[in-house]
Amino acid sequence: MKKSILKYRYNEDLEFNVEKPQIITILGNSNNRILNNLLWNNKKGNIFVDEIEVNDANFYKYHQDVSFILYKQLNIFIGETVSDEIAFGLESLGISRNDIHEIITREARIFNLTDKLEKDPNSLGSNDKALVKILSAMIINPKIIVLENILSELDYEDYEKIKKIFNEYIKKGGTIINITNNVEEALIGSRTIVVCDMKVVCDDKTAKVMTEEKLLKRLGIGLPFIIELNKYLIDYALIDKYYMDYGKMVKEIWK
Amino acid sequence: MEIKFDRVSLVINPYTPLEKTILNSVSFEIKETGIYSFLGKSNSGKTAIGELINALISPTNGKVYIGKFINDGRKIRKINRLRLSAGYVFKNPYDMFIESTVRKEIECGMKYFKYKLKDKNFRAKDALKLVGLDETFLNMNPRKLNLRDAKKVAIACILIFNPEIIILDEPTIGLNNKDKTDLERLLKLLKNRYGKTIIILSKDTNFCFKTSDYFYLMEKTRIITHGDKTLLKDEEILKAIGLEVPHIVKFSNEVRRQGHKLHDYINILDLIKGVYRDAK
Repeated sequence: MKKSILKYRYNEDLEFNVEKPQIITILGNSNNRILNNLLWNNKKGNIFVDEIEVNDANFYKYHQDVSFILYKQLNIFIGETVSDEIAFGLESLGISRNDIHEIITREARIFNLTDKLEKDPNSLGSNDKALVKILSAMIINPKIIVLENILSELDYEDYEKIKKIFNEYIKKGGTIINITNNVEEALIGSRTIVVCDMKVVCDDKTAKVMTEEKLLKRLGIGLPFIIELNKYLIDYALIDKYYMDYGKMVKEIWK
Repeated sequence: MEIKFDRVSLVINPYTPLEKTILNSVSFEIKETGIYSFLGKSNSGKTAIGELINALISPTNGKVYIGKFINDGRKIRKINRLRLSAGYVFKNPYDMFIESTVRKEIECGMKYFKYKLKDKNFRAKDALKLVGLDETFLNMNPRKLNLRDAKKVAIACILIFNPEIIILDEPTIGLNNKDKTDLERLLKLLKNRYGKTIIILSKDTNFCFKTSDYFYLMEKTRIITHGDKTLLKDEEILKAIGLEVPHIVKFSNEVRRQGHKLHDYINILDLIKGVYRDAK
């Protein structure tokens, strides 16, 4: 029998279970309430991490395992320079000063932040602020990361780079929960959950959820562009299966 | 209302270690009404253009003409008249809220500019209806709203005092697909029926390609080129700046590369009909 990484239940209608490391996208109209329950552990809801229930006694241990990145806290910084800001999590775990310096220079090279380490974080642009927030959450190697609307702040090049970093992080055994409104971000992950009025409507693999066209359009979520294009072309009988690459699709249309 | 930038440059914290150049001799001119959009990566100076038009900051060199007002570092007389005619929506909506309920927050603009109207109550509901929210939001605390509703309330705060110029900073962050089509319809209504000038500062090329008439591309503190919709059909310029190519343009360029004919389309339904006509 498999061990569950995270189990979340609220009021008998909302329940999901994570068994293997993956990226999960949550779409719908009650994002804010799910996020607040995950942050502060509401009385009506239960959270299990590694099959141990979270309560008042082990609440600090829970926040070591799960790290949050929120849109509201994008302009709030603790440190005076960027390297101070990133080192805050490592210092509170009690790692020695030489090791911290080594880890930060190694990780900053991956995120392209090497020439910004000595700057004031409040003077950066919004793209670099989001990168600093993601790096300072990922550097302590948490089991689970929760994101809220933060990926829409990134530029196109950095968005492609962050996708690769997340895929490597999952191979090491981490889990990412992405709470968002933008349906294009669902194509990153392998599983999608649609929530309406604190009830789970749909919970399956991303490719299967995208076939429920009427439901997604009624809730106002819509479809990603490439899926919508495929659907119309199938209706007109120009192609007979889904293509995720434009080059192959055009060859198939003009056979 | 005309807007004119005459070789404007902006440097913050001069003669200190924190010195940073934000704009470098930018000049352009907007005469007719319409929807104009400024596209660029972050750190390219988009937000500074919005703040200069609303006179929240003043330039170090050059002059900004907004109608009959001039923003060049000296004191502006009757500055409230300027801010009444140019409304600026912030990027982060929580920076904008100061009152305790949504009703007070929306009426705050009318109180500040000394608008004299008897039916204020009626007017707050109307502004909320324009952006697609109902009356139950009037008694909520604006800081406890989620990001999607807060973005809409921020636009309603500006629409209530009926400015001639509307500046929107990153309007599509946190909205879903239906909200984006509603916003597109609202902007076209404001342009066609009421004759407003609308300025969008964004990096979302998919949204701007549908709505805007004229484009300015920015990179590292300057404006590189400007032009109408044919500008966004050039993939090489967009890749050099670091912006995303719009999905429809990417598909129709791929079709032409393989040697088939296709016209230019903006809407997905028209695109499918065009493809069907040529393939069958």
